[in-house]
Amino acid sequence: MKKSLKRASLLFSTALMLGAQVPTLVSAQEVNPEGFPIVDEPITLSLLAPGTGMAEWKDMPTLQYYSELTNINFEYTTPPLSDFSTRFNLTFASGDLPDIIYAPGSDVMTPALEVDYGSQGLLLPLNDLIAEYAPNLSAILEERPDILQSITTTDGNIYTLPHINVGDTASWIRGPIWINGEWMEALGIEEVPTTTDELYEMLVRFRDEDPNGNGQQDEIPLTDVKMDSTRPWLLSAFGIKEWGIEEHDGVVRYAPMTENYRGYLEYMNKLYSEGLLDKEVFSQADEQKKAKGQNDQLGMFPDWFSFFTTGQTEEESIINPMFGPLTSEYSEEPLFPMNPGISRGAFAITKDNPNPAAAMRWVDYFYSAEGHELLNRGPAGFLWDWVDEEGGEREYAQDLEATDREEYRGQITPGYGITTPELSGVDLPQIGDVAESDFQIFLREETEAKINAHGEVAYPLVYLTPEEQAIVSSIAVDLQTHIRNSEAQFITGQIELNDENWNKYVETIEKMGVEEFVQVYQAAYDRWAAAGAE
Amino acid sequence: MEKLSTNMGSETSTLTQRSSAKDRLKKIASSWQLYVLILPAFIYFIVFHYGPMYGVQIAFKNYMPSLGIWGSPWVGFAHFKRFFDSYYFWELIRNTVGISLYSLIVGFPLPIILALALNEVKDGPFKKTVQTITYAPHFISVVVIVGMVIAFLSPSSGILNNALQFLGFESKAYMEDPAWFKTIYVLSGVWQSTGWSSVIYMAALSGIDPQLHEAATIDGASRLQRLWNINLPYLMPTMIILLIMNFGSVMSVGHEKVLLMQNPLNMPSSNIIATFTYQQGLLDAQFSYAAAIGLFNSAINAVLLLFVNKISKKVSETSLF
Amino acid sequence: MSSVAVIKKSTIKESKTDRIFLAIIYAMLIFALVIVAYPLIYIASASVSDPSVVNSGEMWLWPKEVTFEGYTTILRNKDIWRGYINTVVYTVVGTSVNLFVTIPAGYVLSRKDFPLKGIFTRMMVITMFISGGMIPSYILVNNLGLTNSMWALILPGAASVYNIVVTRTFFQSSIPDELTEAAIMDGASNFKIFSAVVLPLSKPIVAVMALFYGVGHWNQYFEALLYIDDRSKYPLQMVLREILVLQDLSSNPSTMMSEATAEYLNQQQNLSAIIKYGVMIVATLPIIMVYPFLQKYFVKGVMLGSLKG
Repeated sequence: MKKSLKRASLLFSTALMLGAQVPTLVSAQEVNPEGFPIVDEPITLSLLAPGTGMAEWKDMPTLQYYSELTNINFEYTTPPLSDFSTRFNLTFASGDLPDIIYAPGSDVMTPALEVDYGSQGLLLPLNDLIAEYAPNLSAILEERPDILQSITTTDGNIYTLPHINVGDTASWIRGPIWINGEWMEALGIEEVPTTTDELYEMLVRFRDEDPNGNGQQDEIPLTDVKMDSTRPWLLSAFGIKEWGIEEHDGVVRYAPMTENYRGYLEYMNKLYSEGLLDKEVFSQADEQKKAKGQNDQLGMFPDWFSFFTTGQTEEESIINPMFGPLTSEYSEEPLFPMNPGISRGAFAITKDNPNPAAAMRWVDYFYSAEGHELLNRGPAGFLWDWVDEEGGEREYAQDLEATDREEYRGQITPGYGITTPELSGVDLPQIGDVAESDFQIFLREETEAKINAHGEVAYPLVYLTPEEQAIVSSIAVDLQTHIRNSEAQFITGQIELNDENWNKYVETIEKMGVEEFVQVYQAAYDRWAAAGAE
Repeated sequence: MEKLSTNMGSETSTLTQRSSAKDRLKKIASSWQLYVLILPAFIYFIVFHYGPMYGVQIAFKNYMPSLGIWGSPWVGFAHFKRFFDSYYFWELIRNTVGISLYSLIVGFPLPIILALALNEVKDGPFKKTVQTITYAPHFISVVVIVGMVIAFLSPSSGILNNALQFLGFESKAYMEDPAWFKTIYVLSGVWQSTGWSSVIYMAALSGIDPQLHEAATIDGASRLQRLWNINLPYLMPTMIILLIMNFGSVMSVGHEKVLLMQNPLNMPSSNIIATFTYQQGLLDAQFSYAAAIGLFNSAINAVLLLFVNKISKKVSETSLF
Repeated sequence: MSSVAVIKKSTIKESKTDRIFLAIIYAMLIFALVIVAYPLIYIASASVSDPSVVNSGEMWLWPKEVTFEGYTTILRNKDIWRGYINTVVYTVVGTSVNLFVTIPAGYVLSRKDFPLKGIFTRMMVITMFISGGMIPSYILVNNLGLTNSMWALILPGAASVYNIVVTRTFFQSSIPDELTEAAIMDGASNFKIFSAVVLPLSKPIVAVMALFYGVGHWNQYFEALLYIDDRSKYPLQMVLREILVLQDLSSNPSTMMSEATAEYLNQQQNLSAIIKYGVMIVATLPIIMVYPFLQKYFVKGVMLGSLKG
């Protein structure tokens, strides 16, 4: 690569000028242990990240500002997010590595790949770098040992940094289920259901009593697209936290073969056959669901925020309560799945990086509240500006419409839509006189009451050894296909849920090798737990 | 011209040795120009296809980027075995081949029929319109097509079911029925590609000498007879070659469209090799495993192609090689 | 006298069966036209209708609740225009390279007297089945220094076996051996034969190949994803893909998003339906318009004049 040649010669000549003996390894510039700039002489590193197409990274004020502050310049390569994975893997395959990989996310830089590339020496171990050059991150890791456990791979090395979320919705595993508040009011239902029987009754009333008041029986009490969004919340009513591998009290099991799961299938089959679950649940696309929502046909539905489906305004949607955990004969205590609040694979340093220390210091800033603010809002003078710098008063840019703010934000900072290495969700200083909106308060309260109060992480984020990964890879896809197909077949009644068919279903799972599968995850869990006990 | 060719015969017979040697020399000498004409293609295949071909060995190795292709360890047929042992192996093969053959049976004749039909129409705005419109669907992205298919077939809001209900029939969730999946896939594919595929045949038909048709008309042949005896045989070589090449891609049903149309209820019919490979790839980017599956597909494709090519050689004059 | 009577009788007979036949043909074509045109009209209408009426099935033929928001969003993107220009350049240059490689090769392979015909065909067909895969190709293109240039999009796809074979078949059917032999007799060199005899007769196949390859270049996305880093060099499909990426994001909000981002993306997603259709029209309308121009080369008897000459 011509770039590295140029850099090498620059460092070489610098070393000569300083009268140093030229070592076989070109030594990197000294890094300032704290404060800015990070290096005294400007350096240039190469960076690979997924692009969202909002703007060129080299033109983003946030990055330009930060480059000036730190003296670290970058050559950005940003293939489109949708196909980033292909480019990412080819980069490793061809050996043409960038210095930093930024925000690939754990879908692209999967835990398996971390172990793979890390053990092959393509990614630098970050443990020492964190200890020496990342004070912000180190402080967080001390407070939250579970994070440390989840980013340390099987050989004891840390190869990527996480995105850490401590905000109000950090505990969400996905969009919650919302209940149509207007319908509840129309039918005089005051409380959200707390048991599976109560839910059933509510859904029946939704179906029969014309809560949308149009004289037609066009209500769809519960809907989803392929069950993916409602399933996690409904499974918990049967004591299951995850549609697959989950841990209860230190024991790891495969939920889709348990009696609890059978209870779930029976319940859902009842809902489906009685017209309480949308008949099109397995074949419709998101667009059809949204159309039904905007037509006020939906009683209960999953989405990030309820107004996304209903088309109400943010304020109006406060009337729709969040669905809460249910109890049933299979699960007497309310239980809800919870997100551990971290996302892995947000940042990695590759083996050819000429100045890893500088790279670590560069990223560490974003784990502080200040750094997070910079990444989230950009520097002063763009999205927002100072009214009174001393007093810390800020206001939004005057010539920007409130509705255009988010789009503009996406153009000035990379912290938009990708898994950035940062600490997010901390309270940011207020801009202007807009305090917390009613909606934000509503969100927080609902989350606290329904999710945080009874939330449990289904299974921690772990790493598998290559041998374990090989075992998992060989059966994971087949297992998934089988349980996915079977769920649909049992719920719709395409296959009757009797003893014979249930046993056949479980037998197939066993034949696929689920026992080994569970053993692998049990071992991984034990390792994770043990690391935390230290 | 006819006169010339008969002359040619008599001349060579009288000027035997001297002229045949001269001819042979001339042939080789002029041949070099043919080599030059084909040189760009030759260089292209060598550089861009044979050059990288060493990558095939990935299918037999455990590829590790840090070791490169040459340095990665051999595992022989391990990846193939793993694929064969997969629980859904036979279902994948069945569905993949099923979709291909179904597409072939329905989709192969239609472009020919369209081209022949259009050929009968005199040139003018109608012909131009039909040609342009039928070829337009080829350009529609698969995402839009599947989106439309799902919308049209929706039991509650799709036009097909609305029409059925209007006529007194029950609405049906076609997308959820494995029995209908392949039909929906093939028909939407036919809709999309027939016009485009007929272009080759249209171009071929334009090469027919109109005198042949004039002569036939005078002899009293009807349009249908002329089509059957002149046009169709003229298209034969093209048809056969395309058919042979289509057999060479039976295993290669792409993942994009099927993935968009797949749902848990129609999986028994929509689970194909390509979507399986894609899902594996999402799990972890195992180049080696994907390469092995790809090689397996290619092997089957090659066998099929050779087989059909051989049959074609016996049955007709046309063959791929 | 009797021949006149015969002719008259046969012309009447042929008129009737022929008319029925023609009527059937027209009926078939009109049927095909309607079936094909309907979804096309649907797409055009959907691209200017409010997404909710599209998704609920209310809009089924003509636009309802017309809105041009989809188009304004798309066309507001400055990169689109650059994408258009880039794509036009890549297509013109690329197609020229394709024709330069494919047509001569197809011709040479059609010559019965070309000694290496069988070997070369086999060599080509092998490449259809055995391929090194993405990794060595990626490395090769890098090593050749083609990265981030138009040539990375053009050279690796300079010819396709399928197209060369089709070209060969065309020449086999439409260049009679006598023609070639006569020219050889006249002392023409192979170059001369190719340029003076074959090329004038190859208008239909050149048109078809230009269409096939041209469309391939126009729709090209994957190679650009791999090899083009400079956004200023992005072809149209890459730019459009980026617009659709935002739709991807919006249908999959992740836990790290703030409320504001999720809301913004939700807004975007509402547009996604019409943007999807609008994008498609923006991308393909130009290329669809090209076809009528190429059509004239498929006209019956286009070869007539050339043959006689």
